Amino acid sequence: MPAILANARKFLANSDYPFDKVVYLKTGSYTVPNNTIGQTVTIPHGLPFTPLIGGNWALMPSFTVAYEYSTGPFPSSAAGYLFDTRANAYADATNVYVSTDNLNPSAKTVYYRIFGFQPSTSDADVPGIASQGDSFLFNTDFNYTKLYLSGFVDTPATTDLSVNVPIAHGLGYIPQVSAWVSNATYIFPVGSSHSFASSTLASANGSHLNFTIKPFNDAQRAHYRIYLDS
Amino acid sequence: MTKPSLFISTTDFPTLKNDATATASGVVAGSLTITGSGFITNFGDLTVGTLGSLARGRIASTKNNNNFYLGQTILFDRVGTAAGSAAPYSISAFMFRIAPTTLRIQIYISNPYSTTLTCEAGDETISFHVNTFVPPFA
Repeated sequence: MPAILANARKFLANSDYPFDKVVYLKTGSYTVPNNTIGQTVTIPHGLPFTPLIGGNWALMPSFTVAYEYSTGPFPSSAAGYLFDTRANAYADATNVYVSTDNLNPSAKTVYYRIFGFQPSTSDADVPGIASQGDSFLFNTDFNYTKLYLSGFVDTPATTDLSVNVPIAHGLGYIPQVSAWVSNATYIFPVGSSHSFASSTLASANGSHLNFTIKPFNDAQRAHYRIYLDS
Repeated sequence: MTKPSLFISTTDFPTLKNDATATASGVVAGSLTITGSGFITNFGDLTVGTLGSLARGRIASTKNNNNFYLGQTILFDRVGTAAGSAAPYSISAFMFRIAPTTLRIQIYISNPYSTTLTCEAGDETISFHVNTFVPPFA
């Protein structure tokens, strides 16, 4: 665990801690028929590792109204489910996938934006991608999250329904955290439709990041990134 | 070609720029009753972020030790009563962007039973925390 520079989180950027570099960007769209579950688009990523992905999606190309993966528009009536249309994103060694459930009676065009980090298990060379979304590579109007800890934990295949894994950070406050969980094939962002009963969870408090991993009959690896920022 | 992990910062790669942070909370009253197959919901709107911004959200409940769970959709498992028997149900807490600078936080409880559901006793406070980021996309 690296030493903490006092109040390092109060700096916009701090050269004691790395910036979290985006090594993959992809945008696109596809149409999902009405009343369809799991309509998936496959996107080759060309990276020598499985990226840790995130992003958002929209039903309009302007992204004026946009949703994080695993969420979507709340139905206007008592439909009995949370989202009319919901997109999820995940990755494997060769592809990124966007999978959409569309319970709406109309077909929907899903516009997706995906970014990816390099996992801590890889130090592969990566072709650079120029910053595209902002005119400035560095802009003091914004805070640059300081990557404090990154790593992974493995849980073997067991018949246990869940395994709790604490990761100590000792910051004394609740930090920003990103997490992903993988089985033998796919890596999913943690944060996708969490149910305490069925999904891997990541929670943070002032001292630890705690994973509740669901390895039932399946070995799992959870990747994490903990930032100094709160 | 570059090994990104060797550099604190490099102009070959963009990063996520944190432009705003917002928090909010709501109280779910204890022993709420929900008619058979009905639901209750409530929401609030936060002014945070910019057009197309990314969100890193976390959600906590006082009934789960106030630990903040990573995600934009968290389903808290609870057990109430319906027709005199124990009746599991979920409190769904989620957030989504409804306008360029507006994030909606919402709590939704659906009664999956055909008879009236009486929710768990005891109020609980559900807290939302979101950090938004300038999108690195063109």
